[in-house]
Amino acid sequence: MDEDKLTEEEKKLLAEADRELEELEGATSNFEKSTGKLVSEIKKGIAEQDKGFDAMKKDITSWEEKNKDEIDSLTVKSLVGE
Amino acid sequence: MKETERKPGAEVLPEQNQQSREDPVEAAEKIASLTHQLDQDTVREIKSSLELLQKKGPSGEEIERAEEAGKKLEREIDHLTQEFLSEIVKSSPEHLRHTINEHASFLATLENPVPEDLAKEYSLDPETAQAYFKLAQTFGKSAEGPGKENVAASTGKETGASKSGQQISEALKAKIAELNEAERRGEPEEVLEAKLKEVRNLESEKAKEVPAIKKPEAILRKFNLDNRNFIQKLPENAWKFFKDKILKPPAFVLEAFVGKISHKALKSVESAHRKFGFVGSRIGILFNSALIDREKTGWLRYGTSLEGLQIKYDEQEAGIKEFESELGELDNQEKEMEEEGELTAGIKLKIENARAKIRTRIEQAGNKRDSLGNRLKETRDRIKIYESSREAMVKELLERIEPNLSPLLERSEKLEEKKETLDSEIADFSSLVNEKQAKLDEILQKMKKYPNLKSALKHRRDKMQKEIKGAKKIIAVRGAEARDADRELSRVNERANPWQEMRSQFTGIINPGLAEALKSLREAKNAISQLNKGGDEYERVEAQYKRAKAEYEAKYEAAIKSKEGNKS
Repeated sequence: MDEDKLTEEEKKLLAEADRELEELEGATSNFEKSTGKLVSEIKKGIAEQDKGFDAMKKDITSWEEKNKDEIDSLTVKSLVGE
Repeated sequence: MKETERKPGAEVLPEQNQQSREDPVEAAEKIASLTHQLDQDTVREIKSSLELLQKKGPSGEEIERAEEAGKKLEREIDHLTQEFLSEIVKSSPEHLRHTINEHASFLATLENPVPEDLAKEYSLDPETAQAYFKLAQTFGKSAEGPGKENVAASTGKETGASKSGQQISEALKAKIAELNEAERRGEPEEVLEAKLKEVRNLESEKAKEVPAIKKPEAILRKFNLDNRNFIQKLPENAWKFFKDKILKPPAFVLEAFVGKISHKALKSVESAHRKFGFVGSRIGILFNSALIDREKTGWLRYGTSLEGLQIKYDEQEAGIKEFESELGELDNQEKEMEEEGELTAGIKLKIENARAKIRTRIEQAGNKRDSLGNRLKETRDRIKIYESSREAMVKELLERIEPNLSPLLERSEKLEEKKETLDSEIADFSSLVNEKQAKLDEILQKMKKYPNLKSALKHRRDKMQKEIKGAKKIIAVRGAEARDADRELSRVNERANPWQEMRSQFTGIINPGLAEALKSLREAKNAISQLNKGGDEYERVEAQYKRAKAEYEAKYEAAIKSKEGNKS
């Protein structure tokens, strides 16, 4: 295709098609990058949340275990009303 | 058995002695209804734990194991309390007493093989403990249940015993009739004396007969043949002891026994929770709603509870007021009689005597009231100390939960925001791709009209198809990733729920108003969960739920603010 032989109308149509294709290409690339980043951040965040909950559970369990006797004595007190 | 014979270690308080005179059926009904409530809470707790476990997302096998354990626990609780308690309420007093005794003895056999332990365990006096122990020793045999043979043997023996007494009575009647007839006929003195001797012999024989003590068959059937014969042969005083002390344990024994079962049930729930990783269950048990209610009403030791003492104190106070008004009336009567000139020395003396009696009563009631007042104060102080140590414990826990939980909740919010951004980006890009596809189709359609653009058209169309396909593929991938993230975020947020609930519940304990609001909210939630959507009733309950929720949230906010205010 010899571009010099094309009419103005034909050139305009070609340019328009190329621009649209370019925009779509750019938008796709941006979308892939930005959403990829978001997905990886969410995944990382979820893993951190799991770690956080595990640590909290460990912390409270050890506190509960450490204070076992005191808690149990209070439980017995509440049971017998003494 | 006298109270002075009780072991000093048995710690039997005067109220317990008073309770021992209560009707055990009534006492058991009270206990049953309260324990039923307790069990409802326990069962609800197990169910919610299982739900939590299911949401947590362990493997199918673990869920199955948890469900099985939960059901087993439920069955166990049913076995230990629900069935037993409903049975005792429905039963006749005799049956009730026996059943309780049987369970207590069974439990004792399992747990406390010596009477000393029994005495300590159930706050029994040594004599009753010894009797329980003896029964506990034989219950293993009777637990097999009496066979037909045994029942027949027992019935036979019983019939035989009563027949012998009846024969004597009939023979005596016949001999008396003979004597009367002989007298009427005017028979010789020797004959009459011989007949009289026979009558006297029979009379003395009858006097020797121990009057049959009625021993209910329902009770007897519960024992094996040996025990049944033993009970049948019991002399009156021993039967009385057996009946009063063994078949009719005092109310406090029943209460201690039922309390023991409840304790066991709660402990089982706690251990199940711990087994499946529900942190905070140990401290959570301190705030079991049934236990809190029990602490207020003190049903386990009602006499020494705040409520029980307050009622007694109020009774004495009301009594004093009544006596004082009687005294006032007496004064008025005396005055009126004096004015009308009817007050003789005799009447005056009578009035003085009545006045003295009333004053003595006022003094007695005053002493009782003062002593109750002291005990009330002691109880209030004791409860205060208990509550403050419990609150200190809870505050310590809250201070530990808070710094852990808050950043996690904040991060959860941020992750939710990111997820929303991802969703909106996917939606926006999908629209853009559709727009571009439409636009390009339109351009390419126009290009078809120009023969010069034939090869360019093919190239652009191929490129467009490739781009659109690629974009849609990325949208699909991100869509799947977004759905995964959604699931994962829900799972992680679920992990926060028990902690949030624990935090709000414990904050509620420190703030009773909040606890009350939480209770109403739970009740409303429970009510709404039992209805199908739609309909007037649903709307009414839903409105109640919304009100309760708003009230709770407002109180929670206020409690948090006040806590922050205290810190600053």
